[in-house]
Amino acid sequence: MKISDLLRLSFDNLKRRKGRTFLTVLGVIIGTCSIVMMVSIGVALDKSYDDMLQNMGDLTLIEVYNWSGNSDVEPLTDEVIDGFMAIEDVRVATPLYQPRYFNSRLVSGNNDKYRSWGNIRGIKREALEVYGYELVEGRFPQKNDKDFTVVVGEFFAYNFENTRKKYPNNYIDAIPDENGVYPKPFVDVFEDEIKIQGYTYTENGETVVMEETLNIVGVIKQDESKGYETYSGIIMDIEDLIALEQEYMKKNDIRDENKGKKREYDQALVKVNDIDNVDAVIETIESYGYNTWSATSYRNEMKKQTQMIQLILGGLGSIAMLVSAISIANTMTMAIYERTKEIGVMKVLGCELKDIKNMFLAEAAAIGFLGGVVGLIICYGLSAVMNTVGASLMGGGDTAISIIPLWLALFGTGFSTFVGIISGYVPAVRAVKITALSAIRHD
Amino acid sequence: MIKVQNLRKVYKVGGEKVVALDNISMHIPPGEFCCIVGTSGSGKSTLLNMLAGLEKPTKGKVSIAGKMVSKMTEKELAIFRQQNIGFIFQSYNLMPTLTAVENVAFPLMFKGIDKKIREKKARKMLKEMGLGDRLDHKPGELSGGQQQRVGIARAFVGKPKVIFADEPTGNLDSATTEQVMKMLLEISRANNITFVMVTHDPELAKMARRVITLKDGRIVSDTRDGISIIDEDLLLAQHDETETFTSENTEPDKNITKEKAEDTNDENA
Repeated sequence: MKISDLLRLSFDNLKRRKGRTFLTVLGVIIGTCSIVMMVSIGVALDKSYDDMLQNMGDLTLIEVYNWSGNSDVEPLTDEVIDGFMAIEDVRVATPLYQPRYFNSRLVSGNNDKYRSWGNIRGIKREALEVYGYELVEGRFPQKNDKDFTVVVGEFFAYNFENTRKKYPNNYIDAIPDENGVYPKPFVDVFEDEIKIQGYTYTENGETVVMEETLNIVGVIKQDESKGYETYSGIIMDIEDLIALEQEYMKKNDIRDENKGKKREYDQALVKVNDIDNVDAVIETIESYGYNTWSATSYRNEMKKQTQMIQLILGGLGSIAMLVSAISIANTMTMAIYERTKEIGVMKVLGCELKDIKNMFLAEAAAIGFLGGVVGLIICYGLSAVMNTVGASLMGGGDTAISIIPLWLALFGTGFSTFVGIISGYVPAVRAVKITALSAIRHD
Repeated sequence: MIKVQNLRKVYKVGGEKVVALDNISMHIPPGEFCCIVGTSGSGKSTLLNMLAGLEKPTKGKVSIAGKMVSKMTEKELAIFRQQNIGFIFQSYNLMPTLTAVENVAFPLMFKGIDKKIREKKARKMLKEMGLGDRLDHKPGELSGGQQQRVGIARAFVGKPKVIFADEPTGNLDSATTEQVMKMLLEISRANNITFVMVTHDPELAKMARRVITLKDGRIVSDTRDGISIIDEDLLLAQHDETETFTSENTEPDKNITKEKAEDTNDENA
């Protein structure tokens, strides 16, 4: 028997009992809806967790330390960090340098009347952009820029104190007025000359021992996930920063413990191209003996939790699906009782057993598929309504309550069809067992 | 074409055994039109069912075209019927949702024949049977005689080797009966199809060349062109056994315990 004939026969049979077919399909629709909606809530929950984590820290960023104390593990030298770049999916790896001995301050204006204490972070100049800093104004330093070309945090300028004024007028706060306009700070980072000074404490107070002029070319957006330097710090090329510190040490006769040795860093940063590859990169780095920290370690814990919640929600949803499976089985069994004679006749006329079985399976599968597709359409509607209502209830937040990704849509229809086939199987086997004799007997 | 050897069928009704057929042997050559006659309860329908492979005999063999039908599995039987056998029912058994053409084409669909080709054949067949103006009617819109002609067309359309008919005129009035009977004789002769038909009407059976008469599950006469073809001695012997069989039937608990056990085993097997 041809598949086209088989399908036509099955659909004719479904059409014959429109009312019953409709009710059974309705059951599947409800079953599909309950599963898909429950899972979609789980997916949305997962997504909102992800969003939350995104704010907690850059999920594609790995901090690398060497805490092992094990002499077999090489310290974090430039070579080692460059080696991290060779790991698959790593976009950039940079040492992170925070000066140990360098007492510094920032000055500007006549007689250095504006002063600030900036947090300085040293990273590779070429890593700046890849690292994910976002510019508010200006540009990133380029390779051929002069030394001490830097970018600063978004509110860097507001950190300056006017040493000639008394509290509370010595600071301008970075608080916008009712029109959202920020007050003008004491210094303009692009126009005014801003210098970095190294100083020591003597009996006479602070004594400046060295001074360099900064070339500020960009302001980056504040990003809590990156660090405090995006608020009011300075991000400087690592070589410049080390040079500053070395000069400062020389001026103050501080002995360099690492002189002549390869430079070692306390910390390195590794940026990965995608969240999903972070775990693999961490595993590789840890296999070298280094310690790591990443926001994904929270993420994995949370993932486990949401998976649990999803499982519970999905389980609740499947109860309705189970009921609809029973209803399909019931409908098919009824159909077989009604059509006993017809099946007998078909057998006498030479219909093969597998065709009889397939005919009933196709009917059951069609009920499942139809219910799945219609159910899914309803789910998309429900999901949209829930998200709109939910958003207005929660005060216009953009957090979705229900998300139906493509895989869920495919799974929903696939599963309902599968349930149809499974529930139709026993009745179909039963149909096969009806004897040809019933064509004559069953009057 | 059809060979039957020592066929026996025992039904268990409640705890009791009913012997429906016993010691049936016969041979129907290719192209013969054969009527099996008997009163109700003579076992004629049971015999037909076993010839067509719808029921399994308790003992004995049935073969059609050299194939042992009585030993086939359900699966093999379905394919065998599809390829070699046509069937005409007393109550027509047409598919209520299908038109006349679709009903006639139905068995060809099981063979995997293309819709266009099979419906062309079905249309031709129905036209030959005088139903050219009823092609797209559903069974509910046809008279009994017309429905049975559709049923007949369905049996013949695949040009099977053998056609079985179970009281094909049982639900028809006498005028239609004669018409249908003539049609059956004519088409099976024209196509050289072996035709086996069951009827309770001895007059109707006389229209066939071969007539096998059954009584109480045994063959009491077998004639071709009115001449008996059973060995007289065999017939005599059968008559004796028939009497024993009858007395057995009226007193079922008497001295048949051993046989009973044997039969039950066979049935279960």
